[in-house]
Amino acid sequence: MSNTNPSNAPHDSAIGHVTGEATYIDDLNIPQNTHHIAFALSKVAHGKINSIDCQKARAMPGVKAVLLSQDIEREFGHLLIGPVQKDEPLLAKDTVLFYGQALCAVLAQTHQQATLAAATITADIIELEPIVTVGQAIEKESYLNAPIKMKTGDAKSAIPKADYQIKGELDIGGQEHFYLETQTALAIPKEKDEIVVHSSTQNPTEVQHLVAEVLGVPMHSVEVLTRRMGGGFGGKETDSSQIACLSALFAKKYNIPVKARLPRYEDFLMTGKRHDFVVKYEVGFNSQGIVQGIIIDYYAKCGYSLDLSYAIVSRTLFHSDNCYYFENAQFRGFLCKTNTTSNTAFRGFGGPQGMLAIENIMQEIAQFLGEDACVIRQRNFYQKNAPKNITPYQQIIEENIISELTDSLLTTSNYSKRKEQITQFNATHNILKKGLAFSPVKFGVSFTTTFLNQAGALVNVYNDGSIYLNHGGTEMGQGLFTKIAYVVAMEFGVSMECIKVSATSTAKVPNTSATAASSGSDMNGKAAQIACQRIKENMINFASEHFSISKKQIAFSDGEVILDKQKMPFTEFVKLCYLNRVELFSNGFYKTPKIHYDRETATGRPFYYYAYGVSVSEVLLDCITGEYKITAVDILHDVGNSLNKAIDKGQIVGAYIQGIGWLCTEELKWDDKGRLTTTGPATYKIPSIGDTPKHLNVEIQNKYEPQEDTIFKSKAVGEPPFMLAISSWLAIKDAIYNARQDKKVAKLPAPATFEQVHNGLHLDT
Amino acid sequence: MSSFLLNQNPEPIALQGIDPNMTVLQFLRATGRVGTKEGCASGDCGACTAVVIDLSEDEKALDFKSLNTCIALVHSLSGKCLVTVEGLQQDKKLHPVQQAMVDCHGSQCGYCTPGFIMSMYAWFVTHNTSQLEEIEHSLGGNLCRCTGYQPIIESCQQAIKDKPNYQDPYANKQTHQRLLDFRETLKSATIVSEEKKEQFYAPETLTEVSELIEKYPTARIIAGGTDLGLELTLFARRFEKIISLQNVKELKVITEQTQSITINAGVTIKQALPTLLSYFPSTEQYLYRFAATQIRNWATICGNIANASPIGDFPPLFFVLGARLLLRKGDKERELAIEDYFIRYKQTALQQGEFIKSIIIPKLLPQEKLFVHKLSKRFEDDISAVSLAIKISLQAPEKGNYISDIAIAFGGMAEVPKKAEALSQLIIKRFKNQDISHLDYASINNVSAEIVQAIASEFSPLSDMRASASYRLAMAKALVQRSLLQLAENSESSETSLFDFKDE
Repeated sequence: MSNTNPSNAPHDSAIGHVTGEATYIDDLNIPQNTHHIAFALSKVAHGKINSIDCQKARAMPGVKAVLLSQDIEREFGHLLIGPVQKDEPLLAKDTVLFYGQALCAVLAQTHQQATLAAATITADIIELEPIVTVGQAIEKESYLNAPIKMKTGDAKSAIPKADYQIKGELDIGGQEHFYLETQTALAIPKEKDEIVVHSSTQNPTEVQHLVAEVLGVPMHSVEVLTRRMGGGFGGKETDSSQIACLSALFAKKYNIPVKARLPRYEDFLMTGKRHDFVVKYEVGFNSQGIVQGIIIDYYAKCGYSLDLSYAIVSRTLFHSDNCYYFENAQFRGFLCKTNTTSNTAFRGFGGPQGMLAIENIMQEIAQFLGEDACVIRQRNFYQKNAPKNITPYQQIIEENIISELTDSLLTTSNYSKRKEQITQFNATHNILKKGLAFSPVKFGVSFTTTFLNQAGALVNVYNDGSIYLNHGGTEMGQGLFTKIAYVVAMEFGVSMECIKVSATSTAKVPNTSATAASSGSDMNGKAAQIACQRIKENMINFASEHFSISKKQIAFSDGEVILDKQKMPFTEFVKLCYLNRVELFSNGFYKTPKIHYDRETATGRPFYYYAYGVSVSEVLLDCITGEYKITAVDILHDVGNSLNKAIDKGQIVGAYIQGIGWLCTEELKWDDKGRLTTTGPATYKIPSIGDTPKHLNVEIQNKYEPQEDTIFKSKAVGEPPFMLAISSWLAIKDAIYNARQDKKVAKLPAPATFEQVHNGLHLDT
Repeated sequence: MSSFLLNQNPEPIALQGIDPNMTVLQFLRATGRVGTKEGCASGDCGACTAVVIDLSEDEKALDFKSLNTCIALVHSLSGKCLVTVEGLQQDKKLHPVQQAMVDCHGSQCGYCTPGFIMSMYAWFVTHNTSQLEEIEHSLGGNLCRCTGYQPIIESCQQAIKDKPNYQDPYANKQTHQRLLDFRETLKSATIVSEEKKEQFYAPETLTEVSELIEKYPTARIIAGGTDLGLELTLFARRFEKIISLQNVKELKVITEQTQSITINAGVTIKQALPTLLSYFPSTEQYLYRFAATQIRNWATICGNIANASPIGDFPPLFFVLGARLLLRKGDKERELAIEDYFIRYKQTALQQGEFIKSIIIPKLLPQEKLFVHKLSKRFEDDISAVSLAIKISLQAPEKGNYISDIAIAFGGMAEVPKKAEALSQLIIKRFKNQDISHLDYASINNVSAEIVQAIASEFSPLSDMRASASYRLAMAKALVQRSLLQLAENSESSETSLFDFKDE
């Protein structure tokens, strides 16, 4: 069909997906005698453990063992894990720090036996007062770290000097990843101290490292394998470690294969989510709406442990400017320690909260001045020359296409005309009102922790011409394997069918970073390209000598090797190389150039480049109930030269819808005792098919080629389009503003549930 | 002996000796058929969707119904054919819905995909055009976290184009005959599983079922089983005795009398929809928002009453229609007004050994108008925060457009579904002398404070994860306002909500 063009190739597992033949860890043919884990979870958010009664559970049918934290400490000596700081016990010890924390793990012959046994376990816990909300954490000064600061100019004195000031607060809710495949691991003990762990993880090396640590063996004894995940979105960057480690512990202790798979509600309770934020801001601006000074304090609900919160809140600060130049800015990030699950990476990694904060401020400035919010945004945009191209962290924006994308989308989406139509509509309708909004995205690409920006790949060309590809990136549905296979196919000039992509393995490519920060194809693509080029160099050196032709006259294309005036099928050429003892395999290593960052001064060049996008959303609102529908969305997004247009478009649409989930319907609720009350799809509502706007037009920009030397001049696409959903939230706020006869700017928290919208329409906030 | 057919396998699968508490999904995965995935084990995400082929009521055709295998009991498959994602290919060629999902890039992580494929398959067999509304109704119970659904909708549109030239592996005479023949081989199988201490009963006559329920008053009665399954999967419960109404033909009947409709306990929502919509057309939006297709296919109208949930969507509707329940114990039957069935949270007027045999629903009189509204966080497949039903009786036409009587009931506003008496009186008092065709936004707004007061006098709703108490109260009022506006039909703008808005 339409997929003959390899740059539009379907997902490498598409046929496996639709036939059910693509296997996930829970589908693997497990070895005989595999045992299964179930957990008993804490029913209080904060408390001192007096005792845990497992007697009944131990006597239940099929139960082999019940493991408590003291058993782990006694037998293995290593209870604490964590990606940055070792502050997460595998099982609760002495105190419980959040509702749903694992108290003990039951091992039984079947998953059901383990579950039934775990349900009989009781715990005597003296309840202590929990810190549940950000407000409580601020009041009690409960922080995990000193605040993170970023500063340029002198915002404190600039704000009062400006013509106008706005002060405000914005509540931003968290978000559950709701990957369809919950956390899963299968540990298979091998001889001596060796173990193989199948883990549904974005970070096999981290799992390998932690399993080795808790087992007390060198990393070379642990192999972690990840063929595919049923979704990750950041939720499997660090949170996959706990059950992988516990499976490995049980497996080693009893010398049997052990599998753990979290039931959905346990996954909700035990694992981290996107951070909730309370944002306090103060901004001074002139009559043109140009920001003279801005101060934003972010209070992030991090949960009971540090996890990746430092880097996440840092990224919030990095995106507090979004597309706008600020002469005087001061951003601070507070890491609130609460008795809730430890919040973690989630698509955008703190960036969305920073961007929502500044876009909300831009809209409020416009409403204050009675001007179009898009015009105010454009007046504040970064420019092409100094000083208006310098970010608050002193990175110079060398490549800036935001004005161009904005102009283009405003034209194609008919923004001005629709705005007029909406004004008319609103004047003639009582119950229904419309809103319209534009928002831009500038997202920095690279891990802000510089050393993580490295990747490796392994390419084997077999003597029949087939090619085996392995790299450090993991496949979670984003099409990474397809994109990297495309890079290899292009390098050797062969079809996609010649390339076999293989499960990520810590034994094949070591010391990899998590597949995160949208960097998967950038880094692994380059590493694979370098591996291919090394092999090609061997081939070219040989061919040049063998055929007595110049190296420049050798090329690979259309399944053939061009050798000056003659052509040879690639397969035949490979055979020839083999017979002449040419090395036909290689690794490749890539580290992102140019980047550096100094945490102390909060300055540097943390990002190799920026990815851009713009969106316009229209909303129809029922003022009696607060119900609304997002009726029309236009998107123009920048992926450089796309590696695969179909996959990139899929990422953009999927990220946008996930973004409206975050901003509209997905509401995490805790009761006052710190118990999460939204623990599954019955109570936590991610977008369903009817939430996809009837008009959803996505274009990939094709006018501007990236300046940096990225893989085939492409750009990262995983996270940036998530924030395109901000225009939809702004359109809801615009509709509320249009509906309010008093023209008050109502507070609207995220998510903008119908209830919150109703409050915004009718309450004086 | 009971058994079921699976995909194109020639040999039926015997159910003898299989745990009566086992779900279809647990069975499939335990026997190595791992294409079908578990996403939530609560019937809310659709990852586990498979399709059941059953004979239609008159046995003259085939019925294709999607099913959440995670909450369905494997014993309930007896006599039917189950099609899973592994069973769609013919000679290793993809089915059109599978091919379209490949071509349109409808899968990313792939974990929800088998469930989508099966919901799409059920839609494909039963539809000939790709109307968006129908696609949304059919796939509203399937969650995808990656794609944003757009490519899945495109896949449906592509697949249906191939339908005229496609020979489906199941939608054909051979499968019909195969199922008829298979049914013949099954002897009457009241006790499906008796080997362990746990038993699954699937009686075939009303007498048998009545006797069983009287004999085992603590047994769990299931019809569609969409509620019971959750207790097994989410709360690690097990049931010793389960009595299924599914095979009782007498209970699968809808009868229409001059002034009422009787729906028996085995009638699913899917089966009842055409009848309900023909007599109560204003309920269409509301009824299609009841759960999702996978649930509507199996859940029964009477089951939604029997489980006595405060947030069932049918009770408020039946309250205002003045429906009565026919309860049966042994060979004795009695009638009960539906509102007398609900006593306290999850407590009912059912006596030991008694069950709901049917519901008798009066038809609307010509001067009666019916309005139903539901408010939830998400439009598809969500539980109501508040639901409302209002029946308004108008004076005889020659006397003008005046309200003569009104019945109002709410769901989600109390521990049981409940009528709003004070509110009804208020509305009659305020509007009985007012020509309703002159009602407008402003005149209704004028009484909104009084409406809130009247509601608050009888209802003190809870705050929970779906809504706060104050929002529930505000919404109870808002939905009454909406209904009155709809009654007037002449508000300045012709639209009264998102649902009746048609863009230019």
